[in-house]
Amino acid sequence: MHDPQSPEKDDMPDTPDEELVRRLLADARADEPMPADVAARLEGVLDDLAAERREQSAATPLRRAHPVGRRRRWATALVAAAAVVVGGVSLRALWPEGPGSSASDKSSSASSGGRAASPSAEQAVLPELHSATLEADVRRAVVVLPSTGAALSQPSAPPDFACAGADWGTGSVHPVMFDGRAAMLALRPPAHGRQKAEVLQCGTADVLASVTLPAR
Amino acid sequence: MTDRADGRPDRELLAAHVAGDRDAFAELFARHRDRLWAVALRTMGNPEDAADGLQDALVAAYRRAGTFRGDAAVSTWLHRVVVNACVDRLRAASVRRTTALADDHDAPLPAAAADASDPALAAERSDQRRLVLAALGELPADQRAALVLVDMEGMPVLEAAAVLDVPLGTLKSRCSRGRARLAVLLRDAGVLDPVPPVAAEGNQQPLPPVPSADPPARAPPG
Repeated sequence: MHDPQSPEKDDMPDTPDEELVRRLLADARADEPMPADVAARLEGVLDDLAAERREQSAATPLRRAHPVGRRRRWATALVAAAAVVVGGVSLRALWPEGPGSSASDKSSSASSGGRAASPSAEQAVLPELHSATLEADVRRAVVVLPSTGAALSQPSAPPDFACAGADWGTGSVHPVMFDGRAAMLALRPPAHGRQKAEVLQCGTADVLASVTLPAR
Repeated sequence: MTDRADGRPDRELLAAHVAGDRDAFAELFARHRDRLWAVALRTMGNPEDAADGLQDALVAAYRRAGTFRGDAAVSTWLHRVVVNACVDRLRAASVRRTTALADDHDAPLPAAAADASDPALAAERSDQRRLVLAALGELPADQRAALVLVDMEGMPVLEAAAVLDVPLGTLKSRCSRGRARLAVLLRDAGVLDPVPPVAAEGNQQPLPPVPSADPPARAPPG
């Protein structure tokens, strides 16, 4: 793809030593194709990734890999919780009240609440978002989240959902799992028929990822 | 490297993968895998670690494809993911600095095979390459990665800086320091000619001429 001998690749003046070293390095370039065994191994990895992706889209949240500590922290709730599938998104029914809170509630540490995590007829959901499929995940998730700007009477989150509060900004904010980690999904106020959705880091509200969708 | 006559452009493949296309990423990876392998191999120093680094990168790229901002070529982004994975491994494991004589380097090298008509020359080149790779393995990971991209892969410095996500000046500095260190190592190994001795004070003997003092002649730009 590149010519190692191309003179315009580097405008640095070379000392004679540097010039010799560059020639020796160019001569030691690896031109061999990827060995067959490595190619086969990586193809297997790709197959596993594709299978994992299919499983995620088919909603098998209990099999989702998490860091060990998180897996333990979630274990009790996960065993008790019923996994529900809405629109192809894997969702966890973890707490009895609505998952969303107003973004204007800056004090909302999502771990607050202390309510029992018992599924009920009005189970809310904890969307799982993934960076690789963020737009599609968010599109499906917003279907089941409270409407934009809806402010609940109190912040709601599952008792085991650990997410330090921060200044989430305007719009509505919802607890989510993002690439296996707790995060907040902020649905910004719509403007000009569009609505920005931002995944915010717990404790800092740093934007981890964002997509813009048609306004609901 | 984003427009391809032999299929969908790289960006299209990446976007298709993010949108859920099951085959797009495999096609994209297959398109670049040999050069990515070369970068991983030369950065890590041996095939086993290179395969591990490339696997890390493959998983990261697959899962983080949605974070590709489109401000660089997809191939640049892929190289960045691979180099980062390899450098992370080198740093985390504090890989033995003397890995350069690993299996890969013991095998006959293709360039040497090309000199088969002159077995003596082929052996000399093979030995020389082995020493060069051993010396490369002595460099800090960031310098090694810079030289692999610029001097081995022939990547323009601007693109190499983008791959390594460093300012251009930093990239040039890494290259310069890496080459200077390599020159010392290769001189010690006998690959480069020794530096002529500096005359001691009071030495009345005239110094021999130093033919290499001037920059090497360059071909005029085409």
